[in-house]
Amino acid sequence: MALLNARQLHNETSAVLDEVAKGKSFEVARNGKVIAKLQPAKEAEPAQWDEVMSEVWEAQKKAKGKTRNPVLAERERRRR
Amino acid sequence: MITYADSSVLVAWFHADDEFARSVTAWVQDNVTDFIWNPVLRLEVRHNLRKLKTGYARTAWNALRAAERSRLRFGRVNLLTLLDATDDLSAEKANAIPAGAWDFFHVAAAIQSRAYCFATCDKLQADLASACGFISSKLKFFRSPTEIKS
Repeated sequence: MALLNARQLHNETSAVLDEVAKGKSFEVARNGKVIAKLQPAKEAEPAQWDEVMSEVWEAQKKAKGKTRNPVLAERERRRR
Repeated sequence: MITYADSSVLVAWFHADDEFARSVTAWVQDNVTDFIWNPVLRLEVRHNLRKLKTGYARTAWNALRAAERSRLRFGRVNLLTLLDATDDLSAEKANAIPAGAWDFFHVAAAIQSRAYCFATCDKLQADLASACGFISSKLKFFRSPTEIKS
Protein backbone atom coordinates (compact mmCIF):
# COMPACT_ATOMS: atom_id res chain seq x y z
CA MET A 1 0.00 0.00 0.00
CA ALA A 2 1.49 3.34 -1.06
CA LEU A 3 2.04 6.09 1.46
CA LEU A 4 0.85 9.67 0.95
CA ASN A 5 1.16 12.62 3.24
CA ALA A 6 -1.79 14.94 3.85
CA ARG A 7 -0.29 17.74 1.76
CA GLN A 8 0.19 15.41 -1.23
CA LEU A 9 -3.41 14.28 -0.91
CA HIS A 10 -4.59 17.90 -0.79
CA ASN A 11 -2.52 18.95 -3.81
CA GLU A 12 -3.13 15.85 -5.93
CA THR A 13 -6.63 14.72 -4.93
CA SER A 14 -7.85 14.12 -8.45
CA ALA A 15 -4.77 12.14 -9.50
CA VAL A 16 -4.86 10.08 -6.32
CA LEU A 17 -8.55 9.25 -6.81
CA ASP A 18 -7.79 8.21 -10.40
CA GLU A 19 -5.23 5.75 -9.01
CA VAL A 20 -7.74 4.47 -6.46
CA ALA A 21 -10.30 3.98 -9.21
CA LYS A 22 -7.74 1.80 -10.99
CA GLY A 23 -7.44 -0.38 -7.88
CA LYS A 24 -4.55 1.16 -5.96
CA SER A 25 -4.75 1.72 -2.20
CA PHE A 26 -3.04 4.42 -0.14
CA GLU A 27 -2.22 5.09 3.47
CA VAL A 28 -2.46 8.77 4.39
CA ALA A 29 -0.06 10.18 6.97
CA ARG A 30 -0.08 13.45 8.88
CA ASN A 31 3.01 14.51 10.79
CA GLY A 32 4.55 11.16 9.94
CA LYS A 33 1.72 9.09 11.43
CA VAL A 34 -0.69 7.05 9.30
CA ILE A 35 -4.22 8.24 10.09
CA ALA A 36 -6.34 7.00 7.18
CA LYS A 37 -6.59 4.55 4.33
CA LEU A 38 -7.93 5.15 0.86
CA GLN A 39 -9.01 2.07 -1.00
CA PRO A 40 -11.32 1.14 -3.87
CA ALA A 41 -14.95 0.99 -2.79
CA LYS A 42 -15.26 -2.61 -3.95
CA GLU A 43 -12.52 -3.70 -1.55
CA ALA A 44 -14.34 -1.98 1.29
CA GLU A 45 -17.53 -3.99 0.78
CA PRO A 46 -18.18 -6.32 3.71
CA ALA A 47 -17.39 -9.98 3.38
CA GLN A 48 -20.37 -12.18 2.58
CA TRP A 49 -21.78 -14.43 5.29
CA ASP A 50 -20.54 -17.55 3.53
CA GLU A 51 -16.96 -16.26 3.76
CA VAL A 52 -17.37 -15.41 7.45
CA MET A 53 -19.18 -18.62 8.35
CA SER A 54 -17.49 -21.24 6.18
CA GLU A 55 -15.52 -22.84 9.05
CA VAL A 56 -18.56 -22.88 11.34
CA TRP A 57 -20.68 -24.57 8.69
CA GLU A 58 -17.92 -27.09 8.03
CA ALA A 59 -17.69 -27.79 11.78
CA GLN A 60 -21.45 -28.17 11.97
CA LYS A 61 -21.24 -31.23 9.69
CA LYS A 62 -19.25 -33.02 12.40
CA ALA A 63 -20.87 -31.52 15.49
CA LYS A 64 -23.67 -33.36 17.23
CA GLY A 65 -25.55 -30.26 18.27
CA LYS A 66 -25.79 -31.42 21.85
CA THR A 67 -24.58 -28.35 23.75
CA ARG A 68 -27.26 -26.56 25.74
CA ASN A 69 -27.72 -23.01 24.51
CA PRO A 70 -25.88 -20.97 27.17
CA VAL A 71 -28.09 -17.90 26.80
CA LEU A 72 -31.24 -19.88 27.55
CA ALA A 73 -29.52 -21.78 30.36
CA GLU A 74 -28.52 -18.53 32.06
CA ARG A 75 -31.98 -17.02 31.64
CA GLU A 76 -33.62 -20.11 33.10
CA ARG A 77 -31.37 -19.86 36.16
CA ARG A 78 -32.27 -16.19 36.60
CA ARG A 79 -36.00 -16.80 36.21
CA ARG A 80 -36.19 -19.53 38.85
CA MET B 1 -34.69 -9.58 5.42
CA ILE B 2 -33.07 -7.55 8.16
CA THR B 3 -33.62 -9.39 11.39
CA TYR B 4 -33.23 -8.67 15.08
CA ALA B 5 -31.91 -11.96 16.39
CA ASP B 6 -31.79 -12.46 20.13
CA SER B 7 -28.43 -13.51 21.53
CA SER B 8 -29.79 -17.07 21.93
CA VAL B 9 -30.06 -17.22 18.13
CA LEU B 10 -26.74 -15.51 17.44
CA VAL B 11 -24.84 -17.85 19.76
CA ALA B 12 -26.42 -20.82 17.95
CA TRP B 13 -25.49 -19.21 14.62
CA PHE B 14 -21.81 -19.06 15.55
CA HIS B 15 -21.47 -22.19 17.72
CA ALA B 16 -21.57 -25.33 15.59
CA ASP B 17 -22.42 -27.64 18.50
CA ASP B 18 -25.30 -25.58 19.90
CA GLU B 19 -28.60 -27.44 20.24
CA PHE B 20 -30.21 -24.90 17.89
CA ALA B 21 -27.27 -24.58 15.46
CA ARG B 22 -28.73 -26.57 12.58
CA SER B 23 -32.23 -25.10 12.68
CA VAL B 24 -30.91 -21.55 13.09
CA THR B 25 -28.39 -21.96 10.27
CA ALA B 26 -30.95 -23.37 7.85
CA TRP B 27 -33.43 -20.61 8.58
CA VAL B 28 -30.89 -17.78 8.48
CA GLN B 29 -29.40 -18.98 5.20
CA ASP B 30 -32.86 -18.92 3.62
CA ASN B 31 -34.24 -15.75 5.16
CA VAL B 32 -31.75 -13.31 6.64
CA THR B 33 -29.66 -10.77 4.79
CA ASP B 34 -28.27 -9.08 7.88
CA PHE B 35 -28.64 -8.95 11.63
CA ILE B 36 -29.23 -5.84 13.67
CA TRP B 37 -26.37 -5.34 16.11
CA ASN B 38 -26.05 -3.24 19.25
CA PRO B 39 -23.75 -3.09 22.30
CA VAL B 40 -25.97 -5.32 24.45
CA LEU B 41 -26.12 -8.03 21.80
CA ARG B 42 -22.36 -7.76 21.43
CA LEU B 43 -21.85 -8.14 25.17
CA GLU B 44 -24.20 -11.12 25.50
CA VAL B 45 -22.89 -12.95 22.44
CA ARG B 46 -19.24 -12.39 23.30
CA HIS B 47 -19.80 -13.31 26.95
CA ASN B 48 -21.56 -16.56 26.11
CA LEU B 49 -19.09 -17.57 23.41
CA ARG B 50 -16.18 -16.92 25.80
CA LYS B 51 -17.71 -19.36 28.30
CA LEU B 52 -17.99 -22.24 25.81
CA LYS B 53 -15.81 -25.23 26.53
CA THR B 54 -16.53 -27.35 23.47
CA GLY B 55 -14.05 -28.12 20.69
CA TYR B 56 -16.00 -25.67 18.51
CA ALA B 57 -15.56 -22.65 20.77
CA ARG B 58 -12.51 -21.25 18.96
CA THR B 59 -14.19 -21.53 15.56
CA ALA B 60 -17.24 -19.74 16.95
CA TRP B 61 -15.16 -16.94 18.42
CA ASN B 62 -13.15 -16.45 15.23
CA ALA B 63 -16.32 -16.30 13.16
CA LEU B 64 -17.86 -13.74 15.52
CA ARG B 65 -14.76 -11.53 15.32
CA ALA B 66 -14.70 -11.80 11.53
CA ALA B 67 -18.40 -10.89 11.44
CA GLU B 68 -17.77 -7.89 13.70
CA ARG B 69 -15.23 -6.65 11.18
CA SER B 70 -17.62 -7.04 8.28
CA ARG B 71 -21.30 -7.93 8.65
CA LEU B 72 -22.20 -6.81 12.18
CA ARG B 73 -22.36 -3.04 12.47
CA PHE B 74 -23.98 -0.93 15.16
CA GLY B 75 -27.13 0.86 14.03
CA ARG B 76 -27.76 4.57 14.39
CA VAL B 77 -30.00 4.31 17.44
CA ASN B 78 -27.88 4.91 20.51
CA LEU B 79 -27.93 2.77 23.62
CA LEU B 80 -29.59 5.36 25.84
CA THR B 81 -32.50 5.62 23.39
CA LEU B 82 -32.82 1.84 23.40
CA LEU B 83 -32.84 1.76 27.20
CA ASP B 84 -35.50 4.49 27.34
CA ALA B 85 -37.62 2.52 24.88
CA THR B 86 -37.11 -0.58 27.03
CA ASP B 87 -38.39 1.28 30.08
CA ASP B 88 -41.44 2.47 28.16
CA LEU B 89 -42.19 -1.06 26.97
CA SER B 90 -41.72 -2.39 30.49
CA ALA B 91 -44.15 0.20 31.85
CA GLU B 92 -46.68 -0.98 29.30
CA LYS B 93 -46.32 -4.76 29.51
CA ALA B 94 -44.28 -5.87 32.53
CA ASN B 95 -47.38 -6.89 34.47
CA ALA B 96 -48.80 -8.90 31.60
CA ILE B 97 -45.76 -10.84 30.42
CA PRO B 98 -43.29 -12.39 32.90
CA ALA B 99 -40.20 -11.82 30.75
CA GLY B 100 -37.01 -10.33 32.19
CA ALA B 101 -35.66 -6.81 31.77
CA TRP B 102 -33.21 -7.86 29.04
CA ASP B 103 -35.97 -9.61 27.13
CA PHE B 104 -37.80 -6.29 27.13
CA PHE B 105 -34.58 -4.63 25.96
CA HIS B 106 -34.25 -6.90 22.92
CA VAL B 107 -37.86 -6.50 21.84
CA ALA B 108 -37.77 -2.72 22.36
CA ALA B 109 -34.46 -2.53 20.47
CA ALA B 110 -35.95 -4.53 17.60
CA ILE B 111 -38.84 -2.07 17.37
CA GLN B 112 -36.56 0.99 17.62
CA SER B 113 -34.18 -0.46 15.02
CA ARG B 114 -37.11 -1.09 12.65
CA ALA B 115 -36.34 -4.77 12.31
CA TYR B 116 -38.57 -6.58 9.87
CA CYS B 117 -38.36 -9.82 11.81
CA PHE B 118 -37.60 -10.89 15.38
CA ALA B 119 -35.92 -14.26 15.95
CA THR B 120 -35.42 -16.00 19.28
CA CYS B 121 -35.04 -19.42 20.90
CA ASP B 122 -36.67 -18.08 24.07
CA LYS B 123 -40.39 -18.77 24.53
CA LEU B 124 -41.06 -15.93 26.97
CA GLN B 125 -39.27 -13.49 24.72
CA ALA B 126 -41.22 -14.77 21.71
CA ASP B 127 -44.47 -14.19 23.64
CA LEU B 128 -43.38 -10.63 24.37
CA ALA B 129 -42.35 -10.00 20.76
CA SER B 130 -45.69 -11.37 19.60
CA ALA B 131 -47.54 -9.05 21.99
CA CYS B 132 -45.56 -6.16 20.48
CA GLY B 133 -46.62 -6.85 16.91
CA PHE B 134 -44.04 -9.34 15.66
CA ILE B 135 -46.48 -11.95 14.41
CA SER B 136 -46.55 -14.73 11.78
CA SER B 137 -43.80 -14.11 9.22
CA LYS B 138 -42.28 -11.36 11.38
CA LEU B 139 -41.55 -13.68 14.28
CA LYS B 140 -39.34 -16.75 14.22
CA PHE B 141 -39.36 -18.86 17.34
CA PHE B 142 -36.95 -21.79 17.39
CA ARG B 143 -38.26 -24.63 19.52
CA SER B 144 -35.70 -26.77 21.30
CA PRO B 145 -34.93 -30.01 19.39
CA THR B 146 -35.57 -31.98 22.60
CA GLU B 147 -38.95 -30.28 22.99
CA ILE B 148 -39.86 -31.10 19.39
CA LYS B 149 -39.01 -34.80 19.92
CA SER B 150 -41.10 -35.14 23.09
